[in-house]
Amino acid sequence: MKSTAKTFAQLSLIAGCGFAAGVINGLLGAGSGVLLVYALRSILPRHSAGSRDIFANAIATVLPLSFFSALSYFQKVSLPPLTELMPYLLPGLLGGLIGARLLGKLPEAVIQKIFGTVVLISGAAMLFR
Amino acid sequence: MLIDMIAALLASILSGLGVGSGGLLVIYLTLWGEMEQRLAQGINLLFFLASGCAALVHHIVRRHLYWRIIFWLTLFGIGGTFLGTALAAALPSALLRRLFGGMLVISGILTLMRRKSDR
Repeated sequence: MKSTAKTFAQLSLIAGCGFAAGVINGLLGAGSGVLLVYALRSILPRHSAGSRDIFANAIATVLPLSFFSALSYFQKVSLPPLTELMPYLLPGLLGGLIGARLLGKLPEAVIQKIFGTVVLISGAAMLFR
Repeated sequence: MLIDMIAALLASILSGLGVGSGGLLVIYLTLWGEMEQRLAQGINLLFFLASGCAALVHHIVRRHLYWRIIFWLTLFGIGGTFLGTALAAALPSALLRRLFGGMLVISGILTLMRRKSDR
């Protein structure tokens, strides 16, 4: 395996972005992937890590973070009963598989524009209302 | 309940595609369903555990995962999650909602700014 020479800058990037991603994940339950994708673009080797790889690595990082966030979160906030969670968890499982399978296969530019706008407007609504 | 399930399905498909910063379900729960922010975020965490695991199973065999980097990012991240969840529990719901909204605005702008070459 090629060994990667890590400079101090890279180490700081990993430490800083990792920590920040954890804070965002614990605080908001979402959004750390956005940060991690940007961080990973600088951290991962440019020639071998394509955009789908970067995204997959981001998910692989957010998962354990979400796990630990959930552990401390539900010590402070009450956990809803399983029956209330099922309508979200089961379709979530299915959708995660479908989405992963479709990654790279759909016209992303259009989708990103539509949902980028949805997210932006929703965010503004939550900010100001 | 059926609408909840459809919304969750769509949200997880889109999140698997890299769209929406993982916050689409929260948008649905709070803006459409008027759920309290803290509860919606908690549900979203669990929801992502489900959909992210499913996605990861798919990615593990097909994508190149850099485990050492993931490990170190996660290690520092776990420290951050303690701070994050403490804040989430302590902050007033209205502020939490605004912070979430701010995150979405940033995410939306970044998404719309993407050119074809980057991702």
